[in-house]
Amino acid sequence: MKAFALRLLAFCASTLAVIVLAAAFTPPETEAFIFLTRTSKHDTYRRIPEFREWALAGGPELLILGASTGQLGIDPTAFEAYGHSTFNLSSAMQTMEVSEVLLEWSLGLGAKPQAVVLDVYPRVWPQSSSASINDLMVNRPTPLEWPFLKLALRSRNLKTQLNALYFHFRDQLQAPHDWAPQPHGYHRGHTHAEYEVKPVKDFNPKHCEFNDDNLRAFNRLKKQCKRRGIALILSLPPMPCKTEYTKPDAMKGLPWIDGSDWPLERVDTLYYDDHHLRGVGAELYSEWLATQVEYHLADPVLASN
Amino acid sequence: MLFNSFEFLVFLPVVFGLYWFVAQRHLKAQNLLLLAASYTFYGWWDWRFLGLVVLSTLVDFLIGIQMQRAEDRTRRKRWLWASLAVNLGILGYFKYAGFFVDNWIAAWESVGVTMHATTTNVILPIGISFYTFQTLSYTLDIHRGKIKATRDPVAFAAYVAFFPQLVAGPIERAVTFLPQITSPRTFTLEQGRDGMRLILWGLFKKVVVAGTCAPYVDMCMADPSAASGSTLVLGTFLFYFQMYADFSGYSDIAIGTAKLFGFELMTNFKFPYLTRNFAEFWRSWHVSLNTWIIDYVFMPLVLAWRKAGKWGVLAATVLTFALSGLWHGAHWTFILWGVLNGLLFLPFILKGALRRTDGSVLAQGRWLPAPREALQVATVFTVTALLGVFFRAPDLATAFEYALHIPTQLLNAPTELPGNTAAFLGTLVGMEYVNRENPRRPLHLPWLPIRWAAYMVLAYLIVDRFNAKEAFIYFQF
Repeated sequence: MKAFALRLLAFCASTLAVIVLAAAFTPPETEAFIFLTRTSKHDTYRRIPEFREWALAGGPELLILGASTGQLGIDPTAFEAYGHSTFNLSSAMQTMEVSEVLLEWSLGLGAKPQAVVLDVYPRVWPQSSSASINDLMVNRPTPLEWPFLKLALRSRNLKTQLNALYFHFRDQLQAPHDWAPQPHGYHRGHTHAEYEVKPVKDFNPKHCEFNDDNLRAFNRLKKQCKRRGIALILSLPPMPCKTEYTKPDAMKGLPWIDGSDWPLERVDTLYYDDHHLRGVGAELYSEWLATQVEYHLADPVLASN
Repeated sequence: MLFNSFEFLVFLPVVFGLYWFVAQRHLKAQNLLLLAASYTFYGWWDWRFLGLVVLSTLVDFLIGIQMQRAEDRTRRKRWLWASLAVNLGILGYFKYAGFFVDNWIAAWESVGVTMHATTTNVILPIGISFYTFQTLSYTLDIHRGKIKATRDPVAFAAYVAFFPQLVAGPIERAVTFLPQITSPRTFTLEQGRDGMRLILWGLFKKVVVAGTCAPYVDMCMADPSAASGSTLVLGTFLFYFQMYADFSGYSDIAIGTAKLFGFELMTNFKFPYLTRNFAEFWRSWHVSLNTWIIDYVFMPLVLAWRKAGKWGVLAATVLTFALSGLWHGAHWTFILWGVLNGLLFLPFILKGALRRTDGSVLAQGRWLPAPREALQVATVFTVTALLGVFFRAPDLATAFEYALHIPTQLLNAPTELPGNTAAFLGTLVGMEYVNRENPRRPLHLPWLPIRWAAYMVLAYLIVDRFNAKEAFIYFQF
């Protein structure tokens, strides 16, 4: 048994050494072939280090989490008009599992947000978190911290775990990746529009139900907010076409801002596609959202939670 | 729980650690741990069906003791019938009830009689065909006097539910497994090393090779009339390798895992695509099922029909293969697949060469096969691959549509293979050809750095294509 255990250990150590060597010497073209291609598309490379600085300094007051509808549709400057320092950490296909871990990471860094505005786009609820987790593992230029490592382990995806390990070493052993400049605004929606906003066809409300992983993560996130005295405000993004969904029981009783109440919701020229706002739409919607958030924050019941 | 799942990657080291470091001093504790681990492994899929495994175990354990006690042959036979009734009854209800009811109704409707029957969609419990045959072999062997009934319920239950082979075999015989589980086990470096190699090689076959072949096969089967004949032929070859890699991969992982716990399971595949005739092929493919069927179905049939001479043997062969097809699934496609395979034995039976084998492997003692051998291998491979259409097709209509469409545009270039398929198949065949004399020792490479580099490349490919949701083909049987 001892000889077997030693050999196994030696093999594992050699494998780790090979990964470290690969991280030190693999050129970007080969890296994309063996591991994953890095992308600047979701701003992760820029927002994670920036948020880290904010969090270490105790900010922000308002933390925005959620999927791309929040990433492209919620402009933090609208909240700053009300005197709240705000940071938008939403990202493409960000599921509840990822939002929960981002909140845990923020709190671990020392952030003390007064409220979390969680953008809840129903079509993300049943989705797997793999795309969003991979984004965090690959496009995050900071060392791998425990909440992210936990996220990788929880993904039950060996490739994601390998990527997490590789890119952790890669950013410490090689020159920083050459990130492409952003084609659109930093915290705004797309600056251009598709020619037509396509209505969602054959839309089945069943496709908008939480999967088990996301439901569990949402409940953990809710508990975390309650324990820390953070107001959790749910924000359903506006959509230019009808989207049927059933509000999950777990969300009932929480402050709820419905994007369909936004007077401009059906103005399709404000959208890039059937669910993402353009820059101008994001600006207008965020102004409205900020007043709604402000209204909830002023609620003494919510404040006492 | 699937072997190719993250859960199993955690489960295996935990059970291994408890087995060798906590329970190693007590055989009973080890067996109890194996039993608990096996039930957890099975219950992970659906704990409600554990009841069937337990029922089958209890019935055969108690019947085994009663058979041992019975003094006269008639009473022993009665107990055997009870075991057959319970086991085949469970199997029949869960696997074949719908098939027989549907066909009964269809038969009457074909002569103008409309029948109304309430049929329910019965869920097929995973592995039922495997553990039922395993427990049946126990009572059959006691009846034949080959073994004595065990009085250790934990050892017997662990034999029935032994997690490495519970859901897809190899179908172990009590005569070889019970002596192992009732005696102390030791762990050696060779066992651990061979076990890990088999697991790695099995995962490569399942995750990489079978997973890469699957989309092409699915594309051919989805609409055979839209594909050229050459594409369909290539599709059958790829299905052959998909099924082989999937099932033999499972067997390798099962045998390798069992080795880690100090058990030796029987070899289930001996490189069937390197065989030179159909008899040799069937001695190399799903060996545990085929030997089971030969011992408990074919031989009794041959004995019963011995007066009919060669024709009796032929009838027994075709019926045995038809039953083997039915074992795979309650569909006419499987039955026809079995019958056609049985008919391939016609020349052997007529020549009286059914049992004749020299036990040699392809190109024994040489690097390459002789031209005659190569031609034989190509023939056996092509015919068995083409018959695979009936195994894979969802129904007879699709199977015939596929088969009849093969001659059209046969000389056209086939649809291109997905990237890396040829490289992965080449690795599989190349590695197994080199090791063809020893199916239980894959990845037997010289020089440690080369060996470890090969392990790392295979591990990378597995990780790269690891899809925890893909079940093994043979789970459905």
